[in-house]
Amino acid sequence: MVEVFKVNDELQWGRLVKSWATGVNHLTGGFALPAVPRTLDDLKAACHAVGIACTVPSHHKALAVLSSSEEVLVIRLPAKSVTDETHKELGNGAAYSLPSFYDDFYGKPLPAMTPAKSQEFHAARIGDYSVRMCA
Amino acid sequence: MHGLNLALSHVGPRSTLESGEQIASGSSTIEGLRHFLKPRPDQRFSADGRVESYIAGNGDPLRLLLRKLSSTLLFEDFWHDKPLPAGIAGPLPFDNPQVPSAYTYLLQLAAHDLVHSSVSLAGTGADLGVSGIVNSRNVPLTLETIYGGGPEVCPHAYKIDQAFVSSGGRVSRTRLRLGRLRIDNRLDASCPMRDVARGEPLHASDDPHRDPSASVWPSEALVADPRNDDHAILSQLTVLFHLLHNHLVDRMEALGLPSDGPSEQQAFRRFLAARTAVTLIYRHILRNDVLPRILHPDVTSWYGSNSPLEVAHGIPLEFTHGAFRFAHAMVRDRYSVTRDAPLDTERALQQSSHRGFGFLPVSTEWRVDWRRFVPVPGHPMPMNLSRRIGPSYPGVLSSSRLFPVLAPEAGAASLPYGLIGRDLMSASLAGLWSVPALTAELQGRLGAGLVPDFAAWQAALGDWLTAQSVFDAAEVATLAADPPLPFYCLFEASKTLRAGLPHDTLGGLKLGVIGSIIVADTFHGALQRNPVAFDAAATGALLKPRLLAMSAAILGAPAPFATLPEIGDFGTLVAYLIDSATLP
Repeated sequence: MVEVFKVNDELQWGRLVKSWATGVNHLTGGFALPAVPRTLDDLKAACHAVGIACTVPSHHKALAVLSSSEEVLVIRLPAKSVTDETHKELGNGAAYSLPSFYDDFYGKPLPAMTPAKSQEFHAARIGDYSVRMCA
Repeated sequence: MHGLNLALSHVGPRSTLESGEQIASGSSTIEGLRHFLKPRPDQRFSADGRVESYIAGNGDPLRLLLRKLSSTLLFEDFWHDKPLPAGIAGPLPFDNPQVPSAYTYLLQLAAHDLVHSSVSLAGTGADLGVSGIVNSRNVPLTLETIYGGGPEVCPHAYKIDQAFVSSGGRVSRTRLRLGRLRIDNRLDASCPMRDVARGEPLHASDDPHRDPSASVWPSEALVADPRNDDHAILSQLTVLFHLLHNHLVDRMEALGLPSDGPSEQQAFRRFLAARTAVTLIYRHILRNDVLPRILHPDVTSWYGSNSPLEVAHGIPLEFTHGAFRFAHAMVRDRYSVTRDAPLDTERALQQSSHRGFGFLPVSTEWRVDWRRFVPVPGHPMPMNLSRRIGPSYPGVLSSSRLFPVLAPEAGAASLPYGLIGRDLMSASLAGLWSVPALTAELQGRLGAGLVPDFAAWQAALGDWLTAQSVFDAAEVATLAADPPLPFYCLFEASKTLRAGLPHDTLGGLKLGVIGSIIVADTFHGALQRNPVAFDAAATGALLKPRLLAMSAAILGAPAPFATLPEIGDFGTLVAYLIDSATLP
C-alpha cells in the first residue's frame, strides 16, 4: 500500500485538528494549542509539542491546510497516483487497511472483504471523505 | 507491559513507597523487590528537590520536567543522523543488526519470569502498604511464568490428558494447553491450534451466555501467567514454549519412558523431565545468547569470571523500574509476521484479553513465523530487527490512546506520552539510585577500568539536552547532573566511549556499562540464587550432556534427548522445532 501520513495517537491528532478548526483547545494533557502549521516542519513540530509522533512520507514535499466553510462545498480530490495504486492493489487481493482505532471503537475486527468488495468500499470511502468536511 | 508500575500508585503524600524512606531503611513493604546495593537517602534520584516536592504534595515541578523529557524521547528521527557503518547497518537507520526482534520478546518473557506483581495498581488509590502489592515470583528464572506452580496449582494452563480422565484424576495433567487461532472472524475446527488456549466464564457470575443478545468472547487466557497474553507476539512466544514442552512429553511417551513404576508416577516423571529440560534450555539461552547480545562486552566479560555483586532475595527496583525499561525502546512499530508486508504493532496489542475480547483468539495473520524474528540455521528469511537502544521510543508505545494516563494527577501538569511518561514517573517515585552516585559506587567496586567517571557523561547529557530546545538552562543542569535512571540507560546505550568520551559511532547496539551491570547482576544473581538441577552456572558449558544426564536420572534413559542438537541459542531452538515438525 502507498505510504501515508501516520500518527501514533489518532485521538490526540483528532483533538489537535478539531482545535485548529474551532480555535478552542480540545487537547488533553494540558498542552497549549500550537499555531496552524504552514510547512511540513511546522506540522512535525506541532505534533511533537502535543505528544504526537508523526511520520511524514518522503514523497510529501509541501503542506496545504484547507479551512472549510459552510458556504462553499469543497470536493477534495485525492492524489491520482495514490488512488490508482490503491485501487490496483485492492484488485490484487490486498486488504483495505483501516486504522486500528476503527475496530477498537467497534470492539471487534472489521470483516475481511473480497477484492471487489474492497474496491467498492474504497470508492465509497473516497466519496464520503471528499465531501464530509469532518462533520 | 509490566504489572507493577509505581506511576499508577502515586496518589497521595502518605503512600508508603512514595517517600522512599521505607525502602531506604530496609523495611520496604514490597515483598520480593529490593534496592541494588542499598543506596542511602542522599544517594537517590531527586531532580533537584522535585521528587521531595512531589512527595510533599506539589507534583507539578517533577511532572513538568518529566513531561519535557518525555517529549524528547518521542523524537522518532533520533537515529536518522547516526547511521551505522556500511556493512553492518540494517535497512533502516534505527535497525539493530545484532539483535533480531525475537530478543525483544524473550526479554519481556524473562521480565515476567523475574517479577510477578499480583495486584494491578491502575487507578487504585490505596496506600501501597495495605494494597497487597508484592512481587510474588517465588523462584525467578525457572519458567514459573510458563508453568506456574505446576498442574495441581495451576490446572487451567494444562491440558486434560486421556490418562487423567481414565485414571479419575490420579495422573497429573502433563501437557500445556493450546488453542485455535482465528481465521478472519471465523473460529472452527479447521483453524490451526497455534494460539494460547482461551476460555469463556461459563456458569460463572459473569457468564456471557446469560444474555442471549450479548457477544460471547473467549475472555480467559488459560495460561499460567496472564501477562503473557499482553499482546499477540508474546502469546505466540508462550505458544512456542508450550509446543516445546508438549513435544518432549510426546517423545518420552512414544519411547515408552519411563518404563518402570506405576502409570501415575510415569506420567509425573515425564512432566518433570520435560519441565526440567525446557527450563534448562531457556536458562542456557538466557546465559549464552540473550545476555551477551544486549550487555556491554566488558560487562559480559566481567560476569564471566566474577560472581554477581548481590545474590539476594528479591529483584532490584533499579532493574524493574530503571535499567530494564530499555527494552521498550527495542519495540518496532511494524513487523513482518507471516508475510513480507508488515503489520502495525498496535494490532498485536489489540489481540489480548487485557484490552478487549472481540479480537480473540489471535488471528492467523499474527501466527508468528519465528524465522522472521531470529536467524534460523537452514531457514533464511528477511529479518525483523529490534530498534537500536537509545533515547527514542517507538510511536506505538508512546501513544496516550493505547497507554493512557491512569493515575490521578493532582496539579496543573499532566504527564501523557504513553509508556514514556509511565516509565519516567515510576522510576522517579521508586527511590532509585541517582546515576552519579551509582556510578561512583560501582567504580569503587569494579574499578575505573570498567566503570568510567560520570563527568564525561554529564557533559554529553548537557549537550544533548540543550540541543533539544525544550529545556531552560537550569533544567538542563538538573537533568545532566541527576538523570532518571531509565533515561540514562537509554542515553548511555546510544553512545560508545572513545578516548573516554561518549561518541555516536556504533551506538545503540547494546546497553552501556551502568545499564549492563544492573541487568547482568539481576540475571546472574537470580540464576545463582535459584539453581535448577543439572544446570551449569558457567557460560559456554554445553547443554546436551546435562539434558542426557537429567533424562537418565528422571526417566532411566537418555533416549528422548539423544537426537537433540546442541541448543546454544534461540535460533537453533526454533530450527529444532521446525525440523521436528513441532513448529509448522
